[in-house]
Amino acid sequence: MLIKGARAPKLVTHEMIGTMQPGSVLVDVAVDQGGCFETTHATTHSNPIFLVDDVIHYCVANMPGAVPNTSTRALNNATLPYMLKLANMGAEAAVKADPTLAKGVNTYRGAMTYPAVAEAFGLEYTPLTALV
Amino acid sequence: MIIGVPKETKDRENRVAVTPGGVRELVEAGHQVLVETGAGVGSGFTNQQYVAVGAQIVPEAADAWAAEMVVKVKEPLPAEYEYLRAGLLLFTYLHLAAAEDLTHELLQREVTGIAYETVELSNGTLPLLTPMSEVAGRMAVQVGAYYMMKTNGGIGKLIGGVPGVLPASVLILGGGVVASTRQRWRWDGGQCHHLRPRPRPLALPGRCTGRAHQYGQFQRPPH
Repeated sequence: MLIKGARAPKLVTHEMIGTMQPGSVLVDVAVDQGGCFETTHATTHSNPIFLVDDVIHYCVANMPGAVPNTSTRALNNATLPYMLKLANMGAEAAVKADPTLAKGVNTYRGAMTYPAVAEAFGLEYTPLTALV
Repeated sequence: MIIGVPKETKDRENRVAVTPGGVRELVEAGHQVLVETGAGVGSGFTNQQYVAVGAQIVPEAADAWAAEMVVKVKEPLPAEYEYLRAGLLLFTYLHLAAAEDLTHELLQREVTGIAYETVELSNGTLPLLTPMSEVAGRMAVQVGAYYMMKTNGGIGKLIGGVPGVLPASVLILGGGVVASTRQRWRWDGGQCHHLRPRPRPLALPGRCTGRAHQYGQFQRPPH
Protein backbone atom coordinates (compact mmCIF):
# COMPACT_ATOMS: atom_id res chain seq x y z
CA MET A 1 0.00 0.00 0.00
CA LEU A 2 1.51 3.32 -1.03
CA ILE A 3 0.01 6.55 0.15
CA LYS A 4 2.21 9.27 -1.29
CA GLY A 5 4.38 10.95 1.33
CA ALA A 6 2.74 9.17 4.26
CA ARG A 7 3.20 6.03 6.31
CA ALA A 8 1.42 2.91 5.12
CA PRO A 9 -1.83 2.12 6.96
CA LYS A 10 -1.70 -0.83 9.37
CA LEU A 11 -4.21 -3.06 7.61
CA VAL A 12 -3.62 -6.27 9.53
CA THR A 13 -3.62 -6.35 13.33
CA HIS A 14 -1.63 -8.69 15.57
CA GLU A 15 -4.96 -10.21 16.62
CA MET A 16 -5.84 -11.12 13.00
CA ILE A 17 -2.43 -12.72 12.53
CA GLY A 18 -3.15 -14.88 15.60
CA THR A 19 -6.01 -16.50 13.69
CA MET A 20 -3.81 -17.61 10.77
CA GLN A 21 -2.61 -21.18 10.33
CA PRO A 22 0.90 -21.91 11.69
CA GLY A 23 3.37 -21.86 8.82
CA SER A 24 1.40 -19.32 6.81
CA VAL A 25 3.46 -16.58 5.19
CA LEU A 26 3.08 -12.79 5.19
CA VAL A 27 5.04 -10.71 2.68
CA ASP A 28 5.09 -6.98 3.46
CA VAL A 29 5.91 -4.95 0.36
CA ALA A 30 5.30 -1.63 2.17
CA VAL A 31 8.22 -1.89 4.62
CA ASP A 32 9.84 1.28 3.25
CA GLN A 33 6.71 3.18 4.27
CA GLY A 34 6.53 1.56 7.70
CA GLY A 35 4.77 -1.66 6.76
CA CYS A 36 1.10 -2.62 6.52
CA PHE A 37 1.05 -5.33 9.22
CA GLU A 38 1.01 -4.36 12.89
CA THR A 39 3.73 -6.94 13.55
CA THR A 40 6.11 -5.76 10.80
CA HIS A 41 9.69 -4.71 11.37
CA ALA A 42 12.17 -4.26 8.53
CA THR A 43 14.45 -7.19 7.69
CA THR A 44 17.36 -7.68 5.28
CA HIS A 45 18.26 -10.13 2.52
CA SER A 46 20.84 -11.64 4.93
CA ASN A 47 18.17 -12.35 7.55
CA PRO A 48 14.84 -11.98 5.75
CA ILE A 49 12.23 -13.59 8.02
CA PHE A 50 10.93 -13.75 11.59
CA LEU A 51 8.00 -15.49 13.28
CA VAL A 52 5.05 -13.99 15.12
CA ASP A 53 2.50 -16.52 16.43
CA ASP A 54 4.13 -19.14 14.14
CA VAL A 55 3.33 -17.02 11.07
CA ILE A 56 6.36 -16.36 8.86
CA HIS A 57 6.95 -12.65 8.19
CA TYR A 58 9.07 -11.64 5.18
CA CYS A 59 9.70 -7.89 5.50
CA VAL A 60 12.79 -7.12 3.41
CA ALA A 61 12.99 -3.39 2.78
CA ASN A 62 14.68 -3.61 -0.61
CA MET A 63 13.19 -6.59 -2.40
CA PRO A 64 14.26 -5.58 -5.96
CA GLY A 65 17.89 -5.58 -4.76
CA ALA A 66 17.80 -9.39 -4.74
CA VAL A 67 17.25 -9.55 -8.50
CA PRO A 68 19.58 -6.83 -9.80
CA ASN A 69 19.93 -8.35 -13.24
CA THR A 70 16.20 -7.75 -13.79
CA SER A 71 15.80 -4.67 -11.59
CA THR A 72 18.62 -2.70 -13.22
CA ARG A 73 17.15 -3.26 -16.67
CA ALA A 74 13.62 -2.41 -15.50
CA LEU A 75 14.84 0.74 -13.77
CA ASN A 76 16.94 1.99 -16.66
CA ASN A 77 14.15 1.28 -19.15
CA ALA A 78 12.09 3.78 -17.18
CA THR A 79 14.79 6.34 -16.33
CA LEU A 80 16.60 6.51 -19.68
CA PRO A 81 14.16 8.83 -21.49
CA TYR A 82 14.49 11.32 -18.62
CA MET A 83 18.29 10.97 -18.52
CA LEU A 84 18.39 11.68 -22.24
CA LYS A 85 16.17 14.70 -21.85
CA LEU A 86 18.31 16.12 -19.02
CA ALA A 87 21.53 15.47 -20.95
CA ASN A 88 20.23 16.81 -24.27
CA MET A 89 18.57 19.95 -22.96
CA GLY A 90 20.38 20.62 -19.70
CA ALA A 91 18.56 20.58 -16.35
CA GLU A 92 16.97 24.02 -16.54
CA ALA A 93 15.47 23.68 -20.01
CA ALA A 94 14.45 20.07 -19.39
CA VAL A 95 12.45 20.77 -16.23
CA LYS A 96 10.90 23.83 -17.83
CA ALA A 97 9.77 21.79 -20.80
CA ASP A 98 8.61 18.68 -18.94
CA PRO A 99 6.26 19.04 -15.95
CA THR A 100 6.69 15.34 -15.17
CA LEU A 101 10.42 15.80 -14.68
CA ALA A 102 9.87 19.10 -12.84
CA LYS A 103 7.94 17.19 -10.16
CA GLY A 104 11.13 15.23 -9.52
CA VAL A 105 13.17 18.30 -8.58
CA ASN A 106 13.61 18.18 -4.80
CA THR A 107 16.50 20.63 -4.51
CA TYR A 108 17.53 23.26 -7.08
CA ARG A 109 20.79 25.19 -6.66
CA GLY A 110 20.41 25.52 -2.89
CA ALA A 111 16.61 25.91 -2.79
CA MET A 112 14.12 23.38 -1.42
CA THR A 113 11.61 22.84 -4.19
CA TYR A 114 9.57 19.87 -2.95
CA PRO A 115 6.72 20.80 -0.57
CA ALA A 116 6.48 17.52 1.38
CA VAL A 117 10.21 17.54 2.21
CA ALA A 118 10.13 21.24 3.13
CA GLU A 119 7.25 20.51 5.48
CA ALA A 120 8.95 17.45 7.00
CA PHE A 121 11.99 19.46 8.09
CA GLY A 122 10.50 22.95 8.53
CA LEU A 123 12.45 24.34 5.55
CA GLU A 124 11.49 27.23 3.35
CA TYR A 125 9.73 25.99 0.21
CA THR A 126 10.45 27.71 -3.10
CA PRO A 127 8.34 26.68 -6.09
CA LEU A 128 10.55 25.57 -8.94
CA THR A 129 8.66 27.88 -11.27
CA ALA A 130 10.10 30.83 -9.34
CA LEU A 131 13.64 29.64 -10.13
CA VAL A 132 13.64 28.49 -13.74
CA MET B 1 27.08 16.51 -21.44
CA ILE B 2 29.44 14.43 -19.30
CA ILE B 3 27.48 11.80 -17.36
CA GLY B 4 28.95 9.89 -14.41
CA VAL B 5 27.84 6.44 -13.26
CA PRO B 6 29.40 5.60 -9.89
CA LYS B 7 29.33 2.11 -8.40
CA GLU B 8 26.63 1.84 -5.73
CA THR B 9 28.05 1.78 -2.20
CA LYS B 10 25.04 0.77 -0.10
CA ASP B 11 25.35 -2.63 1.57
CA ARG B 12 24.31 -5.44 -0.82
CA GLU B 13 23.11 -2.99 -3.48
CA ASN B 14 23.95 -4.62 -6.79
CA ARG B 15 21.96 -2.45 -9.16
CA VAL B 16 23.54 0.19 -11.40
CA ALA B 17 21.91 3.30 -12.84
CA VAL B 18 22.62 2.62 -16.53
CA THR B 19 22.88 -0.58 -18.56
CA PRO B 20 25.23 -0.84 -21.55
CA GLY B 21 22.12 -0.39 -23.73
CA GLY B 22 21.41 2.88 -21.94
CA VAL B 23 25.00 4.00 -22.38
CA ARG B 24 24.75 3.32 -26.10
CA GLU B 25 21.75 5.66 -26.39
CA LEU B 26 23.47 8.40 -24.40
CA VAL B 27 26.66 8.11 -26.45
CA GLU B 28 24.71 8.12 -29.71
CA ALA B 29 23.06 11.35 -28.55
CA GLY B 30 26.52 12.85 -28.30
CA HIS B 31 27.24 12.54 -24.59
CA GLN B 32 30.30 11.25 -22.77
CA VAL B 33 29.62 8.54 -20.16
CA LEU B 34 32.08 7.80 -17.34
CA VAL B 35 31.40 4.45 -15.62
CA GLU B 36 33.25 3.61 -12.42
CA THR B 37 35.09 0.32 -12.81
CA GLY B 38 32.96 -2.65 -11.75
CA ALA B 39 29.78 -0.58 -11.41
CA GLY B 40 27.74 -3.03 -13.49
CA VAL B 41 29.19 -6.30 -12.25
CA GLY B 42 26.47 -6.94 -9.66
CA SER B 43 23.85 -6.65 -12.40
CA GLY B 44 25.77 -8.85 -14.82
CA PHE B 45 27.51 -6.17 -16.92
CA THR B 46 31.29 -6.18 -17.40
CA ASN B 47 33.51 -3.16 -17.97
CA GLN B 48 34.14 -4.49 -21.47
CA GLN B 49 30.41 -4.38 -22.29
CA TYR B 50 30.32 -0.71 -21.33
CA VAL B 51 33.49 0.08 -23.29
CA ALA B 52 32.05 -1.69 -26.34
CA VAL B 53 29.18 0.81 -26.49
CA GLY B 54 31.36 3.86 -26.01
CA ALA B 55 31.65 4.38 -22.24
CA GLN B 56 34.88 5.35 -20.58
CA ILE B 57 35.76 3.24 -17.52
CA VAL B 58 37.18 5.35 -14.69
CA PRO B 59 39.13 3.85 -11.77
CA GLU B 60 37.74 5.87 -8.85
CA ALA B 61 34.33 6.97 -7.62
CA ALA B 62 35.61 10.57 -7.57
CA ASP B 63 36.19 10.40 -11.34
CA ALA B 64 32.58 9.44 -12.03
CA TRP B 65 31.31 12.03 -9.54
CA ALA B 66 33.27 14.77 -11.34
CA ALA B 67 30.76 14.63 -14.23
CA GLU B 68 28.13 17.32 -14.85
CA MET B 69 25.28 14.88 -14.26
CA VAL B 70 25.61 11.91 -11.92
CA VAL B 71 23.06 9.11 -12.24
CA LYS B 72 22.69 6.57 -9.46
CA VAL B 73 20.25 4.12 -7.90
CA LYS B 74 20.35 4.83 -4.16
CA GLU B 75 20.73 8.13 -2.35
CA PRO B 76 24.29 9.36 -1.60
CA LEU B 77 25.66 7.94 1.65
CA PRO B 78 27.71 10.11 4.09
CA ALA B 79 30.97 8.83 2.56
CA GLU B 80 29.79 10.29 -0.77
CA TYR B 81 28.83 13.75 0.56
CA GLU B 82 32.32 15.03 -0.31
CA TYR B 83 31.42 14.66 -3.99
CA LEU B 84 28.39 16.93 -3.74
CA ARG B 85 29.18 20.35 -5.14
CA ALA B 86 27.51 23.47 -6.53
CA GLY B 87 26.12 22.96 -10.02
CA LEU B 88 26.07 19.16 -9.84
CA LEU B 89 22.96 17.56 -11.31
CA LEU B 90 22.10 14.39 -9.38
CA PHE B 91 19.43 12.02 -10.73
CA THR B 92 18.66 9.07 -8.42
CA TYR B 93 16.28 7.75 -5.75
CA LEU B 94 16.60 10.26 -2.89
CA HIS B 95 13.75 9.62 -0.40
CA LEU B 96 14.62 12.91 1.29
CA ALA B 97 11.62 12.93 3.63
CA ALA B 98 13.42 10.13 5.49
CA ALA B 99 16.91 11.69 5.20
CA GLU B 100 17.31 15.03 6.97
CA ASP B 101 21.14 15.08 6.90
CA LEU B 102 21.24 14.44 3.16
CA THR B 103 18.60 17.12 2.57
CA HIS B 104 20.78 19.70 4.32
CA GLU B 105 23.89 18.56 2.43
CA LEU B 106 22.15 18.91 -0.94
CA LEU B 107 20.91 22.39 -0.02
CA GLN B 108 24.15 23.68 1.48
CA ARG B 109 26.22 22.32 -1.37
CA GLU B 110 23.76 23.71 -3.94
CA VAL B 111 23.19 20.44 -5.74
CA THR B 112 20.23 20.09 -8.10
CA GLY B 113 18.69 16.84 -6.92
CA ILE B 114 16.03 15.16 -9.04
CA ALA B 115 14.45 12.21 -7.25
CA TYR B 116 13.24 9.23 -9.27
CA GLU B 117 10.46 8.58 -6.78
CA THR B 118 8.84 12.00 -7.12
CA VAL B 119 8.87 12.22 -10.93
CA GLU B 120 5.11 12.27 -11.47
CA LEU B 121 2.90 12.09 -14.55
CA SER B 122 -0.13 14.34 -14.88
CA ASN B 123 -2.40 11.42 -13.95
CA GLY B 124 -0.63 11.13 -10.58
CA THR B 125 1.33 7.96 -11.33
CA LEU B 126 5.02 7.64 -10.57
CA PRO B 127 6.78 6.25 -13.66
CA LEU B 128 10.17 5.76 -11.99
CA LEU B 129 8.79 4.03 -8.91
CA THR B 130 6.51 1.73 -10.92
CA PRO B 131 9.22 -0.59 -12.33
CA MET B 132 10.50 -1.47 -8.84
CA SER B 133 6.93 -2.03 -7.66
CA GLU B 134 6.47 -4.39 -10.60
CA VAL B 135 9.54 -6.31 -9.45
CA ALA B 136 8.44 -6.36 -5.80
CA GLY B 137 4.94 -7.56 -6.72
CA ARG B 138 6.25 -10.52 -8.65
CA MET B 139 8.87 -11.31 -6.02
CA ALA B 140 6.24 -11.28 -3.27
CA VAL B 141 4.52 -14.30 -4.83
CA GLN B 142 7.84 -16.03 -5.35
CA VAL B 143 9.08 -15.58 -1.77
CA GLY B 144 5.64 -16.40 -0.39
CA ALA B 145 5.72 -19.68 -2.29
CA TYR B 146 9.28 -20.38 -1.11
CA TYR B 147 8.55 -19.84 2.58
CA MET B 148 5.39 -21.97 2.43
CA MET B 149 7.68 -24.95 1.88
CA LYS B 150 7.94 -27.16 4.97
CA THR B 151 11.71 -27.22 4.63
CA ASN B 152 11.68 -23.44 5.01
CA GLY B 153 9.46 -23.49 8.10
CA GLY B 154 6.20 -23.08 6.20
CA ILE B 155 2.90 -24.88 6.08
CA GLY B 156 4.17 -27.32 3.45
CA LYS B 157 1.87 -26.39 0.57
CA LEU B 158 2.80 -26.02 -3.07
CA ILE B 159 1.37 -22.63 -4.00
CA GLY B 160 -0.24 -23.85 -7.21
CA GLY B 161 -1.29 -27.29 -5.99
CA VAL B 162 -1.37 -30.24 -8.41
CA PRO B 163 -4.26 -31.87 -10.29
CA GLY B 164 -6.64 -33.17 -7.61
CA VAL B 165 -5.09 -31.20 -4.75
CA LEU B 166 -6.13 -27.67 -3.89
CA PRO B 167 -3.59 -24.89 -4.25
CA ALA B 168 -2.72 -22.53 -1.43
CA SER B 169 -4.93 -19.52 -0.76
CA VAL B 170 -3.41 -16.14 -1.50
CA LEU B 171 -4.72 -12.88 -0.07
CA ILE B 172 -3.63 -9.64 -1.74
CA LEU B 173 -4.13 -6.36 0.11
CA GLY B 174 -4.18 -3.16 -1.91
CA GLY B 175 -4.91 -2.07 -5.43
CA GLY B 176 -1.73 -0.40 -6.59
CA VAL B 177 1.08 -1.46 -8.89
CA VAL B 178 2.52 -4.07 -6.53
CA ALA B 179 -0.85 -5.73 -5.96
CA SER B 180 -1.94 -5.65 -9.59
CA THR B 181 1.26 -7.21 -10.86
CA ARG B 182 0.90 -10.03 -8.39
CA GLN B 183 -2.25 -10.95 -10.24
CA ARG B 184 -0.29 -11.57 -13.39
CA TRP B 185 1.24 -14.54 -11.65
CA ARG B 186 -1.11 -17.29 -12.71
CA TRP B 187 -1.30 -20.89 -11.86
CA ASP B 188 -4.00 -23.37 -12.82
CA GLY B 189 -6.88 -23.08 -10.41
CA GLY B 190 -4.88 -21.02 -7.90
CA GLN B 191 -7.17 -19.24 -5.49
CA CYS B 192 -6.80 -15.52 -5.05
CA HIS B 193 -8.60 -13.43 -2.50
CA HIS B 194 -8.06 -9.78 -3.22
CA LEU B 195 -9.02 -6.88 -1.01
CA ARG B 196 -8.49 -3.47 -2.49
CA PRO B 197 -9.79 0.02 -1.80
CA ARG B 198 -12.00 0.43 -4.82
CA PRO B 199 -14.02 -2.33 -6.44
CA ARG B 200 -12.80 -1.52 -9.90
CA PRO B 201 -11.73 -4.26 -12.27
CA LEU B 202 -8.12 -4.06 -13.35
CA ALA B 203 -7.39 -4.34 -17.01
CA LEU B 204 -4.91 -7.15 -16.68
CA PRO B 205 -4.69 -10.64 -18.10
CA GLY B 206 -5.43 -13.39 -15.61
CA ARG B 207 -6.84 -10.93 -13.15
CA CYS B 208 -8.78 -11.77 -10.06
CA THR B 209 -12.39 -11.87 -11.06
CA GLY B 210 -13.64 -10.92 -7.59
CA ARG B 211 -14.44 -7.47 -6.35
CA ALA B 212 -13.48 -5.93 -3.04
CA HIS B 213 -14.39 -8.20 -0.14
CA GLN B 214 -15.21 -11.01 -2.50
CA TYR B 215 -12.86 -13.52 -3.94
CA GLY B 216 -12.15 -14.82 -7.36
CA GLN B 217 -10.00 -17.37 -9.06
CA PHE B 218 -7.04 -16.87 -11.28
CA GLN B 219 -8.08 -17.57 -14.80
CA ARG B 220 -6.38 -20.33 -16.67
CA PRO B 221 -3.77 -18.75 -18.94
CA PRO B 222 -4.43 -19.10 -22.64
CA HIS B 223 -2.35 -21.82 -24.23
